[in-house]
Amino acid sequence: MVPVLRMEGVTRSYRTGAGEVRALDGVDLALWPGEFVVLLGPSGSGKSTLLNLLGGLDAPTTGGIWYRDHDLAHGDDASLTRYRREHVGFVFQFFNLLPSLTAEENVALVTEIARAPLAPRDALALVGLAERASHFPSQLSGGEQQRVAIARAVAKRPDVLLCDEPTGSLDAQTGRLVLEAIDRVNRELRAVTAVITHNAAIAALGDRVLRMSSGRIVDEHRNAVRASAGTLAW
Amino acid sequence: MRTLRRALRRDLVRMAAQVATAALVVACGVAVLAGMFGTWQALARAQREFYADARFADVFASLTRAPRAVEATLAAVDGVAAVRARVAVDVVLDVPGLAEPASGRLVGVRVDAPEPLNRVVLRAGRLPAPRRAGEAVASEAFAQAHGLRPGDAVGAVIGGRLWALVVVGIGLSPEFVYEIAPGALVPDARHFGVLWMDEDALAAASGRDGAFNDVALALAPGARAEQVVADVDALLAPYGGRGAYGRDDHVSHRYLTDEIAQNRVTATWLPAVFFAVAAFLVAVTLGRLVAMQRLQIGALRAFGYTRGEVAAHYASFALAIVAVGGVAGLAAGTGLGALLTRLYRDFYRFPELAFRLDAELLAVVAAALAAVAVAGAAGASARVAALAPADAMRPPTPPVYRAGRLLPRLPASARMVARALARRPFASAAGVAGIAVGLALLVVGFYFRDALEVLLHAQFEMARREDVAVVFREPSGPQALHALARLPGVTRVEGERAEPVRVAAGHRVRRTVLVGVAPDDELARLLDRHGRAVPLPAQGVLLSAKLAEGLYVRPGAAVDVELLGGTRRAGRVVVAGLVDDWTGLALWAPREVVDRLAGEGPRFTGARLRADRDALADLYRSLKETPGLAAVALREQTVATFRAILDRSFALSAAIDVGFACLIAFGLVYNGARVALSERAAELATLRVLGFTRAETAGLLLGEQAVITLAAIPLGMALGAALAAWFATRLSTELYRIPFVVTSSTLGLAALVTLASAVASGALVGWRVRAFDLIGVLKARE
Repeated sequence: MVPVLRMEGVTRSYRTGAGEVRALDGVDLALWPGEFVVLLGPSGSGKSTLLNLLGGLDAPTTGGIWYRDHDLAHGDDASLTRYRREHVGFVFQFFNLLPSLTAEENVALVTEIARAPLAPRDALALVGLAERASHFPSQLSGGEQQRVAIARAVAKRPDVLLCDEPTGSLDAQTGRLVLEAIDRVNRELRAVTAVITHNAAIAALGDRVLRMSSGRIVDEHRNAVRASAGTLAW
Repeated sequence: MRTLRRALRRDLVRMAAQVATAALVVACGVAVLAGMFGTWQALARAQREFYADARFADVFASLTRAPRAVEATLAAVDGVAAVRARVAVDVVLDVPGLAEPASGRLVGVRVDAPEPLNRVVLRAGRLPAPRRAGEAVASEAFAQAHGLRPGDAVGAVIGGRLWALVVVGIGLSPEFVYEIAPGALVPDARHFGVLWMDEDALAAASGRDGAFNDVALALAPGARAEQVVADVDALLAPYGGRGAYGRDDHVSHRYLTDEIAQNRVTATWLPAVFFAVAAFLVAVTLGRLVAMQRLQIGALRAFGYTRGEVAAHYASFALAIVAVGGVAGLAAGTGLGALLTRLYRDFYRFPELAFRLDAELLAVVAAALAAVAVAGAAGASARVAALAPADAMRPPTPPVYRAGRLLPRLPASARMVARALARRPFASAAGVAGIAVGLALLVVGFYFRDALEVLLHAQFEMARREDVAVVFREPSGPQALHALARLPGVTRVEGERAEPVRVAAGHRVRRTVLVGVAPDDELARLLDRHGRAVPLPAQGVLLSAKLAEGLYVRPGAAVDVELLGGTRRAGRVVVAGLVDDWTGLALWAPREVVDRLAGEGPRFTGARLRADRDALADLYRSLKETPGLAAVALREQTVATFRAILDRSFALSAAIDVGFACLIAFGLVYNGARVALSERAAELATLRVLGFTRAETAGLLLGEQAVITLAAIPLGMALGAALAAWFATRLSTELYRIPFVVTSSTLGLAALVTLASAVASGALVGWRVRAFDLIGVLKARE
């Protein structure tokens, strides 16, 4: 089997006033089709940097990244934009919905530029929000907004779903609903899913859990059985 | 408060681009206001002072000939304060270096005693020596056009004899501030000039010893011009008086006064447009600052700063923009004023025409700036003052959007644009209006050029087709035409009889000219507004449409026509039709009808010639020496002069118009786009993360501005056309008419210029999409 995403010897350094900061330090990683990976680690451990590189938002200082056989490490803006547009779904901590568009329209914004998308209504149904389709973000709760964001991310039928602290600004109950939605789209659409979080309780949800510290993957284990989101507690 | 001032300085620097745009528009407004208002002031002042210093007369009359003794009778007329009776003759001039003949007006001047009225102000040299017929003072415009200096000579045929007049001085007169040949469309100093000669010498040379044929009078305080005109008319009638008239009918005065009035209007509305746009830009920029610094406002209020202090802090942001724009605008306005007055000096000749940045002008500018500052700052300052500290420190309530019934068919991106526009209807409408006005300014600017091109074509290609037009010194019989026909190269001669008349319909009266022509004339055609020939009626007269309008008559009505020269006979004639001419207020009738009205046999006052082009040089030479001619007009030269004036004055004004329109469109689009960028940077960066290309994202950023610009274009075209129509009506005077023409190339060019500046400023802001922080946005709380 071929990995969907592959990283080899990736480092990412930033030049700051105080000198060079190495956010990632020699990471090797492969993500397999349909896999649900949870990336755990405290702030500053490099998990967001890793996600940005996987999402084609940033380029490594050294090392290689491939989406199937596409080289992401040396892509120009146009090719990375095309990669994000055709293959990646993003879910952000603060939802990043467009306030002037309704839930359905926020989803439609992405389906209009995708090749074989779900209908926006179907995407919303997948996250249990079909009846809230015509509401503006300001009329939705935080959890509902995040589920709209998930619908927006999955409506294009992405090959990769990247979630950056998707429950970070939600209470536990709402967070569980959101994770349920992510879990469901992973199972139904078979998109390789990476969720980064500093919330260890979420780890049980994944096929595989990677722990990060100081820019390295320091621990990796597989869950024999994926827990369902409803059973999580934090 | 020192720290707050430092914050203000930093805010100004941080928002430098928007501040600069608003300041630039303020500067334009001030430049236009200072430049144009100052030019208006300069013209009005120059007119006032020159008229007073040189004692410009109030009433004027010309006549065939009256003995000197009549002057005393005129002085005794009730309401007359001063009289100056003199000799004035029109002659053909031979100027060294000029192949073609020129026309001149010789005016008698007293050299041994001060002139009571219409004094000649010497710019160089001296007045002619007493009784010395060979000396003259030349008008400044004419002298400059030919490089004449004291000591140079000009040939003139006076009383049938060729004189060499030595120029002994260069002078100006309030009578000839605008030195234009009778009946001409534009001044042409190369082909028309005024020469002042010793009164007695001129009288002797022109066979008017002890007599006069021209008179100027000053009114006593409180005297009514109409009454004096009527009395003078009655008094001069036996001497061939051609009708007295007041300043309103004095050509130079009328052109000058119209120009000054027009200047005042332009100096008001054009700056007003800029100030309205500037106030809007200041309001938008300041509004954005207040929105961004909401938390800071809360903090300041929490620290104990009063409402007034905080509001004043933000108001001073507007003041700073206005002050910067004001200073820059004054500098530019001084330059513009100097440039405009210099341009005016070529057309309007005063001893002094100078732009001055005086207290009145500064006060006007200060008042305008204060208005912009208040209009620009009021809204935002009031919002600041009304903000309670606790509210200010909470994030603003999210804007309320409405789904909109018409939107569902549009793509989501278009819906974003539509909702953003609808959320701020006032700002969107103001943006549309602003850009439309900028475009309309351009249309109007180009319109004048189009209109004068049409005028040139209509007048000199459609209506007038002669090569040379001559005016006889005295009305002459058919033998004068035969003499002209024998001149070298002349292939066709058409005589005309132009008689000064007073035409009346009820109480409405005009002083004008009745022209007798022949039905088969080819060189001067009478045309209607569609360019079709108006047939000459066997009975009745044709009226200039403008004259008919002034008299409130239509074809079929009757008018009373009184001949002012010679026999002074009068009669009632029927208006048979109207002619759409471009200058003056003439009437036309078959020549026999005019002869019959005058009770004389065939008489001609002038003629039009067509000549073989190869023989023009010979013809010109002969005309210079032909006795009996008072004036010569050359169509080709007139067209060339007209075109030169057009090119020179329109090159400048077109450049200014284009610059202004670009600035307005650029400023409004840039400002709108910057506001959108600052409000929606996070949204747009999110779209980039979601896979929108830079171009698609920039498109969403600029969509609003694109809609505003596109909506403004047809509106601006319509507004421009309406303004042009308004100008055409307003500038359609009894002296001249300007046609209403808005060509599609004018509209297209105006739209193109507007679109180009909008695209340029959009591109400048759109470029920033490249620099979006795609990673930061993922972690940013809205």
